[in-house]
Amino acid sequence: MKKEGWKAMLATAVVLAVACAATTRLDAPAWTPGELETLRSLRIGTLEPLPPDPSNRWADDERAVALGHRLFFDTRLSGNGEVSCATCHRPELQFQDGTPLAAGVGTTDRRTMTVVATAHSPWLFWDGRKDSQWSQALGPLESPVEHGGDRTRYAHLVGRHYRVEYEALFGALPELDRLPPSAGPVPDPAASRAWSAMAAGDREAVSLVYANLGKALAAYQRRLEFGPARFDRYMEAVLAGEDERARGLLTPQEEEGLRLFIGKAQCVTCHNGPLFTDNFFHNTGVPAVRGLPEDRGRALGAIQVQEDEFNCVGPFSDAGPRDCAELRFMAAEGDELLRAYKTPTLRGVARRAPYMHAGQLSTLTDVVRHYDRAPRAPAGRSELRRLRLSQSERTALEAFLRALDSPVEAPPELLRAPGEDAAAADDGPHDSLDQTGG
Amino acid sequence: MRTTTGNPRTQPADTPRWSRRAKALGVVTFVALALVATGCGALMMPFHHSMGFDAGSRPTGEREYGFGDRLSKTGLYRVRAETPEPIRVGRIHEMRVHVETADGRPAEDATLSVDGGMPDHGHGLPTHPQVTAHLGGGEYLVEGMKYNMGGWWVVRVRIESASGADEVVFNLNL
Repeated sequence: MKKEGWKAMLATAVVLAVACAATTRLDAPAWTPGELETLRSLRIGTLEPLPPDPSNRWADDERAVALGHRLFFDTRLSGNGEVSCATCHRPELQFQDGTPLAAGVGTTDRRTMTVVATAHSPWLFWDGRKDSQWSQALGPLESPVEHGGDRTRYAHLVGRHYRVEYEALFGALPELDRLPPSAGPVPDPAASRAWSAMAAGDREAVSLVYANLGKALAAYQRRLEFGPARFDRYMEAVLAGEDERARGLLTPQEEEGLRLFIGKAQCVTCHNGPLFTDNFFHNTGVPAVRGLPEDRGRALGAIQVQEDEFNCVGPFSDAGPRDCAELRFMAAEGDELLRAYKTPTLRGVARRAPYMHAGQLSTLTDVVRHYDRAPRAPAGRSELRRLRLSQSERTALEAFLRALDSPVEAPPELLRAPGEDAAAADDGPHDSLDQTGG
Repeated sequence: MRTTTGNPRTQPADTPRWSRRAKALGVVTFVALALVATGCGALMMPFHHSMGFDAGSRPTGEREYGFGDRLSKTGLYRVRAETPEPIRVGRIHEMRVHVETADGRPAEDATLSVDGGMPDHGHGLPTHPQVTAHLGGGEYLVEGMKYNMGGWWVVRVRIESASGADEVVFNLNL
């Protein structure tokens, strides 16, 4: 073709492209008042200030934060000396590990959850079997497949390496010399026998040390929050009437995804509020994993939290008689609890593949397709209904989820191991583009 | 005398009469299965933690929402409720329920039970609220109220006392 022909085609193409882009932008429908009301409630700015934890007297004590920070990264808090909380709750991965099941001294039956912003949730774990961050921290520490340790072992560790910090906060440690090196209500037969052989008073004293460790860990984890995402900046612009700026923050496809999120796809039914979670439990028909034990979700978790010695009404809690309303008035029975799991937050979700309670869904594409198809639950009853989304709707929805790109927000030193040099680690808001779990 | 016409057993298998029967049976079976399938489908409504009562239709007027004074279903009681702070979605809280008999006297010694849910979503309250104190003067403390999303909620208060048993339903738009 002659040069003039090419130029003409190019010019036409450019004109058409510009016109197309212009009309697309101009055609972007405005939000209805009803939609705006819902959108307002999703902004990170509407998140309530960090709620007090009446069950943990030291929750907001800076010294407890410092101690908890050190404990969180201490691999000596394990049976083999190689597992710390940070082993699975990795700061550079938004405090999770990017694998379907977790690898401690063994392998778990469930997916590691992020601990970021969990201070705002009344229930911890996929099944809510713990009702505070401090009691949650105590679960993995004595799990035979996670840290693989026991509370007496940890008490000795505190006596050897953290005595000053511990006693400044919690008072004198018990006499540790006459206690067995290893003892606890754990599956390991030797440790279990040693625990039964201990005097009741000693067991109580060791359990108190254990609870205090949890409270220090919780004080540290309370500081980990989510920061604003591109979605929040978009909402700021929309509410300020700055449409030009808003259009620069969410693409038309992402906007379409947001519209579906609060509309046809009904995500906001459960993924609501500024953390995109109702902190409740739902059966969403997630498939069972062959080879893993039967998983009943909240149906068992509800029983376990009521029986937990470290719960809000238990002897190690600092809560008063008028506290603990979530536990005291919890919905503990009903078929809807079977294979119901806690709604996870969607902030930062694109960086935390794989998804669901045993990592059953590898990518966000798989997740959106799952909700669209609404398969039957292996047990119990799924709350999902077929959405009948088109391919372009599914893509738009996924695009919006990626725009919920909240960073982890915390004092920078808390986002790395204590004593670790800033240059050696990724800080929260300046995380390198980590493609893990894309 | 016996006749052989019309007796199906003496007819060859591929006569129109047999295949009509087979077809009819097939159609009936298919329709029956389809009905069963759609019947089952219709029954599989969002049915978790069911509300267990009929809340009626969504109120149209603004004034029909809220915990203000309401007469119970058969007119036995006048009920209102209040919360210490404005209701916040996702936050567990208490409320005080005031119960009077129809002639304006405080209903002492009543037994109250509270439940509710979202009629559009077919689920109940996410918690199990309880009356934890009789505050006197017909006032009752209910703890454990919680709404875990925005939208149309109904709260039913059932009342039983010497004056009789009745119930009142409040509508909230959160």
